[in-house]
Amino acid sequence: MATLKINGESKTFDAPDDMPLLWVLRDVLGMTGTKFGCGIAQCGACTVHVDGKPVRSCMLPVGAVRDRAVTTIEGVGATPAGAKVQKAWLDLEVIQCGYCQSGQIMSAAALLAATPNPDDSDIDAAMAGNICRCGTYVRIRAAIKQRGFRTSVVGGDHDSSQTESPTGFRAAHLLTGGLAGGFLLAFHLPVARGRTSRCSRPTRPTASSRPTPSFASTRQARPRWSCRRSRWGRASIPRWR
Amino acid sequence: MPQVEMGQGVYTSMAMILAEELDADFAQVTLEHAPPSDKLYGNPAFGIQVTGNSNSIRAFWKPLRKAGAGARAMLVQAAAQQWQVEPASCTTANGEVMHAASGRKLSYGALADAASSQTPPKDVPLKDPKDFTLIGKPLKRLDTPDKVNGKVVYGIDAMLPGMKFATLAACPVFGGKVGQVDDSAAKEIPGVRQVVVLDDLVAVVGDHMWAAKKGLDALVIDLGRRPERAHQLEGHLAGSARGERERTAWSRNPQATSPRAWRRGDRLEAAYELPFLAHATMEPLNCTVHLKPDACEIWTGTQIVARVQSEAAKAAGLPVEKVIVNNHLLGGGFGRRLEPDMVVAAVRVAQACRRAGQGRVDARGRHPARRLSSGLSRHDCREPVGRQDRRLEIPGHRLGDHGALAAAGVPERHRHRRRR
Repeated sequence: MATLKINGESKTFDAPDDMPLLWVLRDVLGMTGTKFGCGIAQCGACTVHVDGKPVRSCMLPVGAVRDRAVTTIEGVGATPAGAKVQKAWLDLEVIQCGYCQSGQIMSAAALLAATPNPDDSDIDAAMAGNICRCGTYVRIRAAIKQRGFRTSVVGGDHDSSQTESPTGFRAAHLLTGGLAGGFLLAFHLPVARGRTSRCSRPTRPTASSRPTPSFASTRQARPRWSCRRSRWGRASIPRWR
Repeated sequence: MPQVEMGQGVYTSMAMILAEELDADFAQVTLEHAPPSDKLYGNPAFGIQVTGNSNSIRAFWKPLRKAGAGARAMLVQAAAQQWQVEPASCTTANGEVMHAASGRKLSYGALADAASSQTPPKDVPLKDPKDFTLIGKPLKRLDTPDKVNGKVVYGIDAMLPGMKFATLAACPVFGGKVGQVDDSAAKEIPGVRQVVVLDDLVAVVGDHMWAAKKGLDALVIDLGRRPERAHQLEGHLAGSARGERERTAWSRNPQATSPRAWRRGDRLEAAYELPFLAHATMEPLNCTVHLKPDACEIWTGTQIVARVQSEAAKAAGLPVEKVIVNNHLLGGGFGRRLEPDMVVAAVRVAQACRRAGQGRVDARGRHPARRLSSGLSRHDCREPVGRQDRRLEIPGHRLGDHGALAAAGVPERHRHRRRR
């Protein structure tokens, strides 16, 4: 028997140490909010936090977690960053089919907890491993930025000097431009994209502002169609006589 | 809700159409997915219960409006009878019938019983679009709040007590057969319960998906002789080229290919060929089956609820009414879930497990999703291009677009895409 601290609660279960955390959560503990997408850390749907860092639970053996705190989509709403990401996701209606969004929200919440006002390169770095088949990337980016802006205005969890940051300024400029409610969505996205593409600020975040790489890296290589061998496993590759 | 939600927002938009004519309070709307029935819930455009072809709004626009307006008229009649007033003197808004002259009002809920005994009106006038209060307004989606906190249940999230999990490898060629399978290593893995070898697929059943996956990886599968179909598929390109020359299997636009059109300017020909592609839905294809001797219950997310029921009944050897289908939200459809193959595979694996004493099986896995890909995404076109007025004119002339639509017998005009 083993014990895990999940969303602040101790859960006891019986599973081999090499079993990935994903299957402990889903099949053993019945917590189905964390999704199985690819099983090889290429899609990001299974992202959870271990000690606040985003990890791909489908490749993380449960024996490696030990007494570290696990946060899943069911519990991320209890964290300040998670709650605000959830709200931004609904405010901007980011979601379509929603299957990848557990992972997207977990990655975004970890990003915003570490980097309250992320710029485009921060977002690229943190979200690169999360795939969305519906193509909600544009709204995800807008929602992350909206959330970063809002905390700076209400003086949330970081100092007020960050309201002067380029991201905050961009968002403030857009919001005070008379865009609100449903119109916010329609105008915010293309304008934000256009502006950011013209932006000539340094593109790489400083080392301190980037999330610390964890044992399951937040930056996964893009899936390649050519890697059939690793996807299918050696034994199950069809062989012709 | 007859149509399935796969991200396109149909749960919200169709509810809006009905609520608009009903004058219901949209904040009170809750949704329940319709059970399988082509007769009751068929898509008006196809006559069967299918969500696809991007036509839910087009197909249900009039029927839903008429249903909403009819129900509203019955509610008004019930209230007018109760108050002994003329129905025309009553108004409706936000789920209530009101009588302005006497200041009385009743909620739809309070009137529902009385309204159900009213005769449905024949021809109810529909609202003038300028009077719409919901349609055309940006409203919040009804399906998204549960999608941000992990509460949402897709087909793959259906969990039953005592359930076993299976993942499978299917022959990668249509029509191919499984030869020898060495399962000695797989059976040593803790948690692996059974290895099911059927003629065209191999499944490993375990206590959890991890055991099933490890078991599948440990199998040594010999696919035997290369099936004839593989050669057929390889010859497909050559075959379609021949078909084009002989004009047997190509849709044509007579106007665009008329002698007059052909005489214009230079002619160019371009052929575009795409390989078979996986639809790659984010939610792996999956199906949960509880097979009993005289009944079968299914949990899945599908675009074709009624066809899933009939195909499962066929596979299980049961009458259709003995098959219960619980449809769920879809982690992406993209047309892949217009096919019932994952359900049939799960039922067949469950039958094998039943024989071995295991009742409930959940067959799922990314790998079978790729292997079972219906491979319908082959688009070919060969287009004579005419030059006219310094702009390229492309007379429409191409092979039909989605194989699922072709298979379903959709009229050619729906498949034919003409570009200018």
